Amino acid sequence: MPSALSADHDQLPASAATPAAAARPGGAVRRWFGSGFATVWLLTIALFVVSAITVPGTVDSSALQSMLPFAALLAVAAMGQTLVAQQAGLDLSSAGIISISAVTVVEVSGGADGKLVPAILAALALGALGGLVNAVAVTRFGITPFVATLGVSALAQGTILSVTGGTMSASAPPALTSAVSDRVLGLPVLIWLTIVIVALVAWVGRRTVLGRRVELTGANPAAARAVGLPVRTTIAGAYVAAGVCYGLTGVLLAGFIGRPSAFQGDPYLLSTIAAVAIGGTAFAGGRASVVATAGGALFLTQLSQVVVAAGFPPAAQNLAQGLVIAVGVGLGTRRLLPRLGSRRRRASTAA
Amino acid sequence: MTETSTSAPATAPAPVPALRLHGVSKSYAGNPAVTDVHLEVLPAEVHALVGENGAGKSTLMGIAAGSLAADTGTVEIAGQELTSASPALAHELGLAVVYQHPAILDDLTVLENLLLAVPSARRTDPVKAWARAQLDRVGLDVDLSARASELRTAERQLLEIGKAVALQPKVLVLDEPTESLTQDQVERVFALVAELTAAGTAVIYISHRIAEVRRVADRITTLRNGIIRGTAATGTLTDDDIVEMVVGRALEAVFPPKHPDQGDVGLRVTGLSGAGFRDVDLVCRRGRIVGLAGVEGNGQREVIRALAGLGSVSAGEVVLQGEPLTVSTPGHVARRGVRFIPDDRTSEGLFADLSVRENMTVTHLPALARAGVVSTSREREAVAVGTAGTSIRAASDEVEVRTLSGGNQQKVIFARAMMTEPTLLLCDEPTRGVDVGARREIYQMLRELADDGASVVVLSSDAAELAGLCDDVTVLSAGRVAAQLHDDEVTEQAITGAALRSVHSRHDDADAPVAPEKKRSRGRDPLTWARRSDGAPGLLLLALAVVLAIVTTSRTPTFLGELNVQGLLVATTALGFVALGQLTVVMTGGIDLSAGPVLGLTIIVLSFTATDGGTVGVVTGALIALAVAAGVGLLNAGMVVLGGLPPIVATLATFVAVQGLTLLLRSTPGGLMDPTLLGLPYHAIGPVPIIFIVLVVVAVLAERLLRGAGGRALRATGSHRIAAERLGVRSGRATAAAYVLSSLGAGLAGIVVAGQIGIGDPTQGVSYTLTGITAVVLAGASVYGGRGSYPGVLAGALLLAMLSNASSFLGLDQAWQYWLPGGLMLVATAIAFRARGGQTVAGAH
Repeated sequence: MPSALSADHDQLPASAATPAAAARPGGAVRRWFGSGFATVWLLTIALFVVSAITVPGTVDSSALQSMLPFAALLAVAAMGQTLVAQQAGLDLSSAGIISISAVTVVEVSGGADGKLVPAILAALALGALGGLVNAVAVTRFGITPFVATLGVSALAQGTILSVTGGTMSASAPPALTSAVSDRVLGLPVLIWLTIVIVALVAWVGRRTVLGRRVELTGANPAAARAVGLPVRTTIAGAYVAAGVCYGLTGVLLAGFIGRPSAFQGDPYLLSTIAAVAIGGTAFAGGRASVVATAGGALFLTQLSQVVVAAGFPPAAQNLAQGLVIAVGVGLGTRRLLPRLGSRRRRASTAA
Repeated sequence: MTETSTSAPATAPAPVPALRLHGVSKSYAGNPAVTDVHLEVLPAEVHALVGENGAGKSTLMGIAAGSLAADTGTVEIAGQELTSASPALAHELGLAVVYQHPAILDDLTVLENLLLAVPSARRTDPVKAWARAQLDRVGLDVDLSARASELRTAERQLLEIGKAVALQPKVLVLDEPTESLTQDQVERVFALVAELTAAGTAVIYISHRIAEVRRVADRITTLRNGIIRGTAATGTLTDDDIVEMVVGRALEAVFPPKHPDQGDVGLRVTGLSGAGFRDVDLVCRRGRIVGLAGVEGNGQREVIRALAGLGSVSAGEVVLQGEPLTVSTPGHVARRGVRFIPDDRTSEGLFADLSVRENMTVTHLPALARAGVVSTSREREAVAVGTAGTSIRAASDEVEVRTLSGGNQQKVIFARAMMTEPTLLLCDEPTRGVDVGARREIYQMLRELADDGASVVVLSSDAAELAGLCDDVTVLSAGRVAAQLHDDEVTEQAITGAALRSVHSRHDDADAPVAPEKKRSRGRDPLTWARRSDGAPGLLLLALAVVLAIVTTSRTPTFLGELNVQGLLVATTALGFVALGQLTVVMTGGIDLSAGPVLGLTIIVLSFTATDGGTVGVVTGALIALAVAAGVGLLNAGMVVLGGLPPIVATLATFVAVQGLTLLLRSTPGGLMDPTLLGLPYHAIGPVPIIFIVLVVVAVLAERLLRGAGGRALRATGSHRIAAERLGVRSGRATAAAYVLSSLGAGLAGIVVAGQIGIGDPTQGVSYTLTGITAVVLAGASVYGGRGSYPGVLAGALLLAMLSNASSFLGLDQAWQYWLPGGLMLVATAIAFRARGGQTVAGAH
């Protein structure tokens, strides 16, 4: 009987199947490729290769120096979006919170270095507050995440207009501007800061009990509750952390731009979602990778640069981005290699 | 092999089989699920299909029902071949399926669920009387206009059966139909089966319960590893024969030996009262297993969940290993070593998309970590031990747990609990949906845990299981302890008897607290209506709009001047069309971010195509613009339906791309619109623009369509896509139509805005995406799909347009244009959520 082989295979005792698979050499690499988070880096490498061949000007030192800060800012903001996506949410408050934080740094400091520290703290606190309002709306009042965050973004935007009347009274303090753009080892401080933060958050997510619990909660809050995990606190924490990410983005953005507008954060509303999507984190919750999201941010930023440098009108950036989001995510969801254990037990579909 | 290989009797000139599977095979990713299956089911017989989980029963029935495509082989229903894998075609040929997980759409009413399942040709008028009769047949006494989400588990099961029977099928497939039913209801189903077969219907009965199968079936076919192991008349088989055919080996005694000694008390529950139970006492001694029994819904589930910290407790005392236990939250009890195994492992037990490893170490994680950092090697070791100890069969520790069979999934949950040496193990239906082999292993594990000193409490609706496994059994009735059975008293008869006898007394005992039921009133009181209706939030918005109009007019009378009203209604029309389209997509459970940019693109296209030519020119130009909009909608539809992209991602891609296209066509404003188009928004009857009247008519028509067959398909898709597909709803088509309609709505809005601004301005439009979504959300549509009201959305659009218009009249700060919609949205959704009695993410759902 042709099926006898595989039927018997199914009956293999656990002891024979499991340790063998676990101990397979290169298992980690395979798992990484199987996880769907590798796609974005291959896309990014491909993009840089194409850039170097077709528009060499976009990969020289000065081009990279001007592109990377934008990629870094997007990576920090999109890290917040990733944390919310991990809890099966969608955060539309990034725009409002980034704007209000950027404006706060400028307004509270009055452009003077002396008040920079309290200004930064105030901006970050506002970010955390925005995240907390999101968190309360979602976990206590049962408001759908994207509705809650859309509302909070509008509240933040209204507050900016109410307080400033739409025009800034000052520019970012010089200390902030130089702290963001000064170079260390050839790269702006902003880049190093981003790398450190992303690496730290990724490490916490991968290796710590806290990170695992966050992942479990995102994957199935009801099951997490049943085993005694603090579900509400965890979800709330994700929104607050996201708010702090946006707050930080606002601070860095103010330092980078100098004189932020009342709507400075608007582009981040959708680009953070795009970076998460290209990175391969599903908005259904559970598995997430802030590193892959950072890759998505790098990819999107370089893509804009290439399209413009290649002589296309600026509008073509949008076309290219749209195409990449659709195709990139399409590829990402397909995964590069069949998942480990794709010899799926028939039970999954049959039972 | 000692298999009974009696094939269907081929001697007598057999009648045309009601169902005939010929050489059917099906594999998933190279793994055969069923192999070369030949099966004939005769008219008027009850044919049982028996096999372990993962044996291929459901795959086989999926193929017969047209919801799965076979790789090879043919399916014939009543002599006619099922030429394509289509549930609709299988229905037409006369096959109906009752799924184990009912294909019931929560957002639709009971009546709509029936109408969706049964084509009009099989119904009689008046429809309500017909529907009532169908429900009476299965003994289901619920309001036809009740939402299916209000039904209890058993009622859903009965509705599912009612739907299938109403199809007047030639072949009826019952997949584990009795799992959630009470004994009375089971009897009713059996009587119905007898009635149907007497009328010539063939019934295929799939069940784990051998006793049930023996009672109801004429012939039994067993399936193992996707291969038929034999078909035989029921009378010729003993229970042992059946079990042996199912598992492929003779089973040793299923239950481990009991524990006759009376040890120390491990768990003592005294006078525990809470929602659904009162004054419950329970004692679990060292080494012994305590069972919780009772007819479904008599408080036993509430008791076990309360002990797990998942219920509410108002009085009583719990002592675990000599120390009081506070059962306030799951976290509290978990810290004392209490482990809970829930009855529904997919929703509450497993992290389906995470690996076996991650699922197993959930509670043990802190012990595998140093200073909060997990040790990879120690985690792997622990998992290897756990896997071996429970003989889990998985390709590796890293496969996602959802790819395992039911039995192996359950073992993962047990391995998780056992890893931490629990002090108290609470099991709610530990063997539900688990095959015979795994069942035995689970009983063994429970006994070992008890021997190691844990208190073990098992809730089961299977009296035979409790009788075989438990040393003591507590029977609950109407939330109170009806009987405490010990040692030799623990028999199946005693358990069932105690449960049933007290059920009768339940009606005499008026004070008895019954298990909490979802609140449900049958009357037509306004509150019930408001909760059930999708239109109620719309009325509220309309009222708010009226209040706003009165307040603003009292301050500035010109607010209600003809000119302002006209302008306000034109603005409402533009937003209204966008919002109507958006609601259509939201109804399918999706979202269309590209609506705003599509509106913008329409304006730019019009600035090329509708610049001259009078009425003919404008109409032609508008049609071209609408065609372009529809094209974008098709693109969205293609990405979502064919490409499988999440709607947010797909429409985000078109959002960005369409914006780019718009800017490519015109980077600066240009292209004056034809005067005809410019006049369009201002043709009016009194202060009311004609286009606004058109909008209202469209909304009313759309609402009517929504309650008809097409709208039912749309809402069914949004409510539960997979269930809808099983019912023959073409969900892909419905979803695609929604995206095209959304883009057309944006296109119509674009025509209105083009008439207003008169020039092709590439910066217009984008903001309509968020405002449109705001209108939809304000109107109380469920963003998860399935529910919403078009006129309600219109009221939302009116209110939003009015807010931005009135704030200038009231001299309000620009900030209010953000604060009001934002705040309103938060408040409105929070209220809607309370009104529907929902629970937050953190609560079980």
